[in-house]
Amino acid sequence: MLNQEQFDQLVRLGLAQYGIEVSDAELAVIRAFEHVYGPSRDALVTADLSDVEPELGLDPSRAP
Amino acid sequence: MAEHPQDLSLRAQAEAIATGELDATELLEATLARIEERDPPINSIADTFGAESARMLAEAPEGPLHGVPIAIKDQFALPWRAPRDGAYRTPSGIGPGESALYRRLRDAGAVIVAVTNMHEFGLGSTGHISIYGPCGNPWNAAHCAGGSSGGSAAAVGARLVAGAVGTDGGGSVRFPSAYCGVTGIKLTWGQLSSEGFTLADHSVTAAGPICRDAADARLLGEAMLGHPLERRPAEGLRIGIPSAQLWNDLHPDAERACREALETIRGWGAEVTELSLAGVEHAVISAVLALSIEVMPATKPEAAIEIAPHLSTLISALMKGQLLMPAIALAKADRIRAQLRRSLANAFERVDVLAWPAIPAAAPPIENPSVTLPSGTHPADFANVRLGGIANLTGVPAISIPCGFSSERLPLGLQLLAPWGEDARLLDVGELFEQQTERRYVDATPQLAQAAI
Repeated sequence: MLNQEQFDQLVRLGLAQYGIEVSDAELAVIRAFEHVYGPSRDALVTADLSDVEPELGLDPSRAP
Repeated sequence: MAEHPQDLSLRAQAEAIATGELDATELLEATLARIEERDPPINSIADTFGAESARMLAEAPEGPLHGVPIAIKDQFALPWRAPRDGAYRTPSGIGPGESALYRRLRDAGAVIVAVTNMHEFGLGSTGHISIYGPCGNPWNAAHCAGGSSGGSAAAVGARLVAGAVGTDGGGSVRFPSAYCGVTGIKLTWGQLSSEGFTLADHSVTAAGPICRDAADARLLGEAMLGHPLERRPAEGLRIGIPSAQLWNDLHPDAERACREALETIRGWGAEVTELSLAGVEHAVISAVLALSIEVMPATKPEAAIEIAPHLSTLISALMKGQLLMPAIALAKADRIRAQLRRSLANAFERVDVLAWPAIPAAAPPIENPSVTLPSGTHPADFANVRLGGIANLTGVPAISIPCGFSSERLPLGLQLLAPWGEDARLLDVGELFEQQTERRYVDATPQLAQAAI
């Protein structure tokens, strides 16, 4: 678990690799987004979905 | 005709024009005047263009919507106007032209009278962030109209127009429809050509009609699709409710209204079945990832650099933050999508529709767009997408029908989902529900819409 300073640094450096700067206000929003959605993203990342088959050739207009 | 013509339903307008009882030019002029007089408190309309609308009317062919004014969301190209996605400009690069939606409406004889306000880039369920300014709710202008198709729903709720078009990538037709007390359906994905639509390569977003009731939504939906949405008896309906998954953590007002609606439906002989849908526990983040990654121009970092200075801080931050999303999350979200699609396909072998609330709580204040639920206070977006995202991830049609009011007299909506291509079934249920409730929710009129003009 990153503390705020580490998280901010991760964001700044991560975006810097694309040449993108982030303002303090934007950073606050990204932090808030992480607070709200981070836990569910981490739960998804760590979920064992090995028994869930992918759907190849996805066509959302019809049933799988 | 004594009453203002925009107090008539969409189908009544069409019929009155067809019989000669209502002059289409007078209707257009009355509509533009009403927008000018009544819209300022809610800011639902981004743009009107009287000369172009008059030209459309002059050239309108005979058709089911001949001479009827329709408003559309700021995501479709018109010959005289480029869409802007509620932002300083659309990142899609689409300019003025004939979108597929424009052609369908034109060919049905409709007159596009306005472009509606929307949440910036469609990335929000509240409608309070837009280049045009926040969009207010016709039931209380200090509360959100919803998003991202908030302007379309608010314009219909305020009786500025009887029909409007929205788009829905995570609930963006259903949330504002529920917030504003109108009927909105996200059609099955892929039925309307995406030509001239700013999210043309999007796999979760579909357009849909927003109207006062289901019969009007059917009429506008048929025009959009170019084929009939046949009426069939809705009696003997089998309804599936995932109680443990999607009927929990609701504001008591929303839960009460939706449970009462379910009882009404059960009362006409519907069979209600409890069921469970595999994959729901990861639906929120999967929907957020699918929606935001596909919408965000930041998939090209140089686009983020160019566009960010022109956006709200919120959206520019989200755009940049998406660049850091771990790839494994996206891969797993795709797997959840596959799981949900199979879950729904299996469920629809046993039931005709699925039902759960369209929104977990009534429209929050624009000043503080968060909702308080049993689990605590959350951003409205987070709470809403839990209920809205499943239809987008799977592609099925979904509708929000007005079903009650909160203690603050703000509307609430029941959501119904049907199998792929069975859009008409949702309208059948909606119409029967309106009959059974003596139309008290669809005919309820906000104070704003009771003014003389």
